[in-house]
Amino acid sequence: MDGKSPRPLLIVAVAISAAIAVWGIVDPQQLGSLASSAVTTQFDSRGWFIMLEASGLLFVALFLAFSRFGKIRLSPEGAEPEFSTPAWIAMLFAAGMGVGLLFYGTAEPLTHFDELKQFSPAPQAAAHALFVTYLNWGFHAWAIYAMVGLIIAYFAFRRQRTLLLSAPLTDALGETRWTRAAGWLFDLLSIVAIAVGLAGSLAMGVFQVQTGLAGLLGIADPGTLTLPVFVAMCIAFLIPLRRDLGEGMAKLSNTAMLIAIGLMVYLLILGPTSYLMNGIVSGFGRYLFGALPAGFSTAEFFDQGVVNWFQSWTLNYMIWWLAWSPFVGIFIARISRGRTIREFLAGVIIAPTLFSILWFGVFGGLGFFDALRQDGALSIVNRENLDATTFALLERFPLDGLTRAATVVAAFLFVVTSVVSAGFTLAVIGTGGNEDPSPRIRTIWGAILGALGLAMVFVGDIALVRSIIALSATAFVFIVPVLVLCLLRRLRQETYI
Amino acid sequence: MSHELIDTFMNVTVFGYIGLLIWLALRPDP
Repeated sequence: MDGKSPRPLLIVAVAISAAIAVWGIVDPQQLGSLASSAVTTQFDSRGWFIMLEASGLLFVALFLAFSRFGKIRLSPEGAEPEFSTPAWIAMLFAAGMGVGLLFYGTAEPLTHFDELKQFSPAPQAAAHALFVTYLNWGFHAWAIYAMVGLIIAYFAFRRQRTLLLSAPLTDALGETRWTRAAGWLFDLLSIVAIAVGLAGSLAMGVFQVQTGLAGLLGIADPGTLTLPVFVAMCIAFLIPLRRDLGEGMAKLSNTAMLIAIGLMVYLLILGPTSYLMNGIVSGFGRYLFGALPAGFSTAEFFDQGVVNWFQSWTLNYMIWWLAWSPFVGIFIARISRGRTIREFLAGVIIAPTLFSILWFGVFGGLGFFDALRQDGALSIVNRENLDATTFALLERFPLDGLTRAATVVAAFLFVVTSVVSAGFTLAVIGTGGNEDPSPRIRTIWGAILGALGLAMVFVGDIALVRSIIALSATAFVFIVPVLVLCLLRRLRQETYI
Repeated sequence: MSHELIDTFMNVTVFGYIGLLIWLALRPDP
């Protein structure tokens, strides 16, 4: 079938994704402003539901991990995990890493700090800024990924269905006309969300790499590098999509992860180590005991400025995690065959969250150190251009040429390996779960991701790019609870039998 | 359409959706 008679799902998904790409390339401003106004309406009216859902998913994950269902293995009876626990944890770290961390490491805590210091003294503002960053990147984010990953893994490995989002529906609610139609729609929407979400990642990577390269090469306007950087990235991900370079891609992804961890350790050791460790420990404590209530916050009694800030960060992140949940969920599911539900949830939620806590503790802590103990120059850079914050921070340390070049390389590799992986995942979903899609279909998806990425680059403004991603993921606000319900129904039946 | 009307509509769809979830949860097994 593959390559001979393409399925309707593949044709419709390719058509919709290509249409969004063409729209974005022809009129990026219109696409950006339309997405922005639609997302604002959505956040104004349904913000409470999005926060309730993120918290609800975390509570369901806690319930499943501690209940009798926690012992159920994500494989047919008797099958053991495919990977050793340390290898599995390392792969989860890799799933949690990405260009977002390089981009926002210092920029996000500093932006929150700028906002919050209007309302409270600087030390409290810094503590709260770190807390909000942890909230955005911590347990709730990973509970969203974990629940979607768990649902995919349970139905694929335990129930022997496909890795698609339509599998839970037809398995738990029966094969009817309605469940098949809804399942088809779920698969289609997950393709669009993955394609747009990854294209946003690609654009963020282009912005980061061009800013870093411009600094290294002494070019005044990073915008002149946009096209060469974009073309280089497209070539770099289209080659592995055409040929099968699975092993090589894993090595490149590990290299990027090692560079990122190396940078973090380097800054922790050469920076004000005890200041950073103090911030990490107190921030961790505050987050650990404050995360659950904060997950329900909706900024309800504040003025419009605070509401806008809350919507464009915390709410946007929750939608963002939902947008990427089919992609990350499929990846996590594939590496977790044979784990018990308890192991799965503990590993997926705790390991990457701890990494985020360390990462933002170091990068954010250095931003606060600059704002509170030094000249505050980083905050000024951050206000002018978020893309430049990480590089401005690295310039303050020895060997900055090397560390900035390493950051550019890591950002490049993160983006390329994610897009290759996304192109593959999209081809798998588009062909109805065929685990070995043809190079032709993989390349078509690579080209569409490239075109969508170009549209995002043309949109230019990172805030608008975030709105477009949020809009593409809106449907997932409603899809994920239905999938959770399917899982709970099947688990209940399984333990009765 | 005024902002209030849109807001009410957006919320009512969520209430309807929550109703659908409850119905799905209480439905007998196929």
